[in-house]
Amino acid sequence: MALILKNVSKSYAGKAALRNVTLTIPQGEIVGLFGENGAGKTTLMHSILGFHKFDGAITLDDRPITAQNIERLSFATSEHSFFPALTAAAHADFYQEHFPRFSEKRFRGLMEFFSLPMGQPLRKLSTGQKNQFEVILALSQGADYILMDEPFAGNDIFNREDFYKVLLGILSPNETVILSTHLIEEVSDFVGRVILLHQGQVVGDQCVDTLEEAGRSVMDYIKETYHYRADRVSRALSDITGEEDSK
Amino acid sequence: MRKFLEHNTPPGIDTTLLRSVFGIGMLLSSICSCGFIARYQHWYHLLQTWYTPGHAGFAEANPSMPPFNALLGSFLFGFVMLALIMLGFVIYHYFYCRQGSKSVYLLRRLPQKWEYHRRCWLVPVLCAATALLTGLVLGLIDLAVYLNVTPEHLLPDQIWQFDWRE
Repeated sequence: MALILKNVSKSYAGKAALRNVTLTIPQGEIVGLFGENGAGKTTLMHSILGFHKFDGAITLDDRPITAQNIERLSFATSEHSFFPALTAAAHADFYQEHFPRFSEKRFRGLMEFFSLPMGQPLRKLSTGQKNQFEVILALSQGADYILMDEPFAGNDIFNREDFYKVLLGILSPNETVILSTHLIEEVSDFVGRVILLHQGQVVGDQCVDTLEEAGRSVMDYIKETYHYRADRVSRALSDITGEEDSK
Repeated sequence: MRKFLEHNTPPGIDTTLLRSVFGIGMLLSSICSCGFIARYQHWYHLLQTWYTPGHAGFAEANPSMPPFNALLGSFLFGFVMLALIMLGFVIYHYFYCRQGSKSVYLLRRLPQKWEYHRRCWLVPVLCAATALLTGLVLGLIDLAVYLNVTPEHLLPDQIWQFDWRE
């Protein structure tokens, strides 16, 4: 049982956003998807969800993703995908109507834990609260694969830490999370696998356990993969201050 | 009606504007359509006055009711305009799903494949169809009046006459 991407490519106006991405994501993994801005993380998630056409193939348990199995995927995005004029309660009704495996118990539990109001239109919530609600919907849908595209933009550190702990606690063994975020250090203890994208290509794919056995951290792996030069800041500062001194 | 609109428009959208435009549009179009009856009455009265023996010039004038389409003119055009305006709401609905948040992402993930498009299209199309159908029915009523009320000898040779040179 796996989500499989084979040679997935996508271009926008002649510019490649994804180039021959091939991945196999079995059920039950928590995957951190990392990459610089414009690396193709969002395009990858949108391709999986069928929001646009692409070259290549994406299958879920050897079947293309269609209306018959799309409910096995859920999505949380920093752009938010809820209906801003509806209340949380109305969203629960909507999800119950359209997603047969929607878990009202999980929904209400998470709403209570984060103290989010059930009867207020969502447009009146703060950005952090909206982010929380977006993730609550994704977790409560009853999906097997939960895609999260930078879901914590705008949340404070305490909020985010609470959420990681709750997430680890409530996920069942067959639930898969694909989490795209810039907050690498925060999620490195939480993810089991890291996939690195650079200019639309997969440049790294490692299990965290394997890295740890080799005595490396996720951050070390990412810096090595991206050829991050630790001295680039000091060299740049030296150049800048050196130039000013000479004036 | 509220439940029907809730289930057949983008979730959370305020349908007040759509309902107001449709209601006012139907009212104004219906009022405008009465212009045919007014014009017909005017001609009917004129012809009845002319077509009396002893009226000067009555034998040479050979008066008749103007062709139906000439009398109808553009009195039903309001319904056509309303239909086009209601179809404009389709664009508004698609735009709404990208405002405030990208609820289009949720609507496009639904297992019910056509739910997203149905919610954007159905109500405006129904309103447009209602407007056009109302215009058609009123036009047929006008035609029935024209054919049945006008004395046979006052009916023109051609009920429909188009002069493309005009």
